[in-house]
Amino acid sequence: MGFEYLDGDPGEQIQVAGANIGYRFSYDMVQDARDAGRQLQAKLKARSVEPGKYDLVLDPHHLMLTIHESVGHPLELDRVLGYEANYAGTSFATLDKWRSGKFQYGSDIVNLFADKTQKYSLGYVEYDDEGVKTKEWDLVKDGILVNYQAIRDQVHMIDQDESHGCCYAQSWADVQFQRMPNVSLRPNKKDLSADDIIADVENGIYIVGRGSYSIDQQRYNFQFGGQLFYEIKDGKITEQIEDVAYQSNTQEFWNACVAMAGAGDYRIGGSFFDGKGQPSQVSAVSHGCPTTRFNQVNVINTARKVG
Amino acid sequence: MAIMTRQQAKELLTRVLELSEADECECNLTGSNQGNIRFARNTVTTSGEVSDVTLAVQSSFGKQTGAASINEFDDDSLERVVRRSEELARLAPENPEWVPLLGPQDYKETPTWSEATANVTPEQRARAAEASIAPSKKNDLVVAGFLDDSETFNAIMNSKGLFAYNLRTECNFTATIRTADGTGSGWASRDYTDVTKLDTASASQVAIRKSLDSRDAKAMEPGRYTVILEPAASAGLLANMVDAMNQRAADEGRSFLSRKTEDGEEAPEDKPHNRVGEKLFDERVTLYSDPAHPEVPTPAFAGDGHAVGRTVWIDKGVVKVLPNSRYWADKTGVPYRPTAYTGGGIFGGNTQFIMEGGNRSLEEMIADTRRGVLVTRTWYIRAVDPQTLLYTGLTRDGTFYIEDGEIKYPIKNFRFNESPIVMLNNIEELGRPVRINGRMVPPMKIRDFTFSSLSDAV
Repeated sequence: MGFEYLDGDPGEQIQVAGANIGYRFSYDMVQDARDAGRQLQAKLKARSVEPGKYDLVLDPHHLMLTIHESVGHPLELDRVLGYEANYAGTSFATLDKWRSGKFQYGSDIVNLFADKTQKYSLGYVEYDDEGVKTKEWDLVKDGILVNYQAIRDQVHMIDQDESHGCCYAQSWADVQFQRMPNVSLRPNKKDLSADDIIADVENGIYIVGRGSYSIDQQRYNFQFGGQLFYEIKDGKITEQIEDVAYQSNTQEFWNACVAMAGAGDYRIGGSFFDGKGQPSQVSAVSHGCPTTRFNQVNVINTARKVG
Repeated sequence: MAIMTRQQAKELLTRVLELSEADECECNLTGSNQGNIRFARNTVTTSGEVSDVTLAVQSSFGKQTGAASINEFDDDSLERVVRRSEELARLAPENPEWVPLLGPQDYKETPTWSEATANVTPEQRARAAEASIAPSKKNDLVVAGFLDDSETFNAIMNSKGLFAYNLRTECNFTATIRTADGTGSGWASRDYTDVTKLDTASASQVAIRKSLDSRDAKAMEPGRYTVILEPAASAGLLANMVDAMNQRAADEGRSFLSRKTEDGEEAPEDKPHNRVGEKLFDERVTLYSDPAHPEVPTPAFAGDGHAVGRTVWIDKGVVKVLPNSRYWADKTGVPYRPTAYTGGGIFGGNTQFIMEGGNRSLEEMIADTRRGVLVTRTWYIRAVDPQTLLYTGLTRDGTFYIEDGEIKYPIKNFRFNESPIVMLNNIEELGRPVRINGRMVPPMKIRDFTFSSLSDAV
């Protein structure tokens, strides 16, 4: 794919509750700039959020980074084993939890998979940096932790005999090692839209875009912000609000996942700057997901006066 | 050969400038030898050395500028990189913020180079790692660590006669030492210009003690606490604040140093509109940079070759000057205040600063604390609101409850939501500054530091 994705094909746009346009495989930059101006005006007048528990409806271009931080990183096998302890950290998703075959990473509708094969994704390659053919595999199936991300010299530690094909080095001067593939949330088999997800929410917040992201070194406690926040009352978006961030714990959060839209709403977003290793290396990775609902998440107000 | 002497660099850059057909031409030459050893699970995992030299050429025709870079220096390659930068310049639109190149400057020599660091061998690195691994094993602990060292040169020459050269060295060691059952974790870091100061065994002892002492941490309610922040705990917040101290961002209303415009008042177009001159911090806060500082030396020039000396940014709590670009300095009629060039090498891109403190050690500060929280380091710091400089992040690798001058017991890690501006107004005491990541930072005792939630992470 080249710059043709900038053709602004209306068929690739998803209108969400009149509040937001979601872009799939084509982007209309001028339309988005126009919308940003309107959203900015609303931001200046937006009411500050009342802290408390809300049902969150998360747009794919927000949720992708939550997936990156709370699923992608903790399921890197080298982190789990302690090889990254001095830099990015270790992981709560320890081998005993995986071996039990019963570790409830999320609710039973949560299916998270890894791949380096999704077309148009940043992680897409035919072969990894050890020459292994790339593929797709499950990490969390029906809510249960079932696998990690591992390469040739690691898979024997998790009783497998084939690399997952996710080895990468950023340049000729760096050592190749296990890097995060695309990690994505499977959409609902039912063809629900983002509006269908919002329609069932009594008291919630709809969050769009990536804001401030911070998570601990074992990937338990996180605080995530966003770009746009909309109040949901009785199934309808009422107005734009401000100063929203949510704090949660990875396992609690994914177990609070109660609904998601279908394949028609599935979108991928990515980062060019996933950092790992010493000396530090960057890698590009994407995450796909539909609009998804999480119940009763703790929302804080980030406004604060100083000096 | 990745390191060139002053004379070799001068000769190569003179050849490049002779090829230039542009109105103005500037060349940057950077080379380094970097070596490293990485270890985890009590064994070495990777090690390596990387040597490379890069020449970047920037050409301007009027206000059109183009740049190209290369790492081969035969005549054909030099010709090619110069022509490429000129082709790109002719294609580029005019830059409305273009400024002409600087003429010759006078530079102070700064003590940035150590022969011992330049000559570190793989065997020395292995011994340094062993001095961390062996005591960890002996204590039934598990270490993961990293040591890297570098020798880097930078040379700048331009068609107005400017020539700058600096050769420097750095080494950086970090170790995270955990209990085998994952219930305790400690950490230590050291960085120096001169590797003979590096003692990985004694640094590892600090991490070992923290690891053993942090087992079975108790949960404490989140809230506002008096904290003692070790230098590694406040360095990230301070660095974020220093990076946000930019005159243009302030003048344009995008920063914590922006001056609020009154209703009906128009912000001036060509004058500074910021909070320089205001006292924003406790009067014990003095923060400056100085390329000649013996502990954290840097080149005495900026990225454009402008000479850089000692600059006081915050004096006794008052914001004195803000870094700016030459374009913005000219536009607003204030002196140009660049920061020293620190690109390349291990600390690439870090702005050097020195925060003044007191004379007492961390241990002395703990000894007269009635109740407080000792924080070893902070982690994953992210901006929540750039205008109030609110940041969030977490404590890591050793958080302890202090009572009656003693460390009583380990406590679970906290998430904090705090602004360095609030932190630097709530000072109880500043201790003796130490070097961390190329900067000097004192341990700080701060009251009312805001922890917003607990983390189960060890």
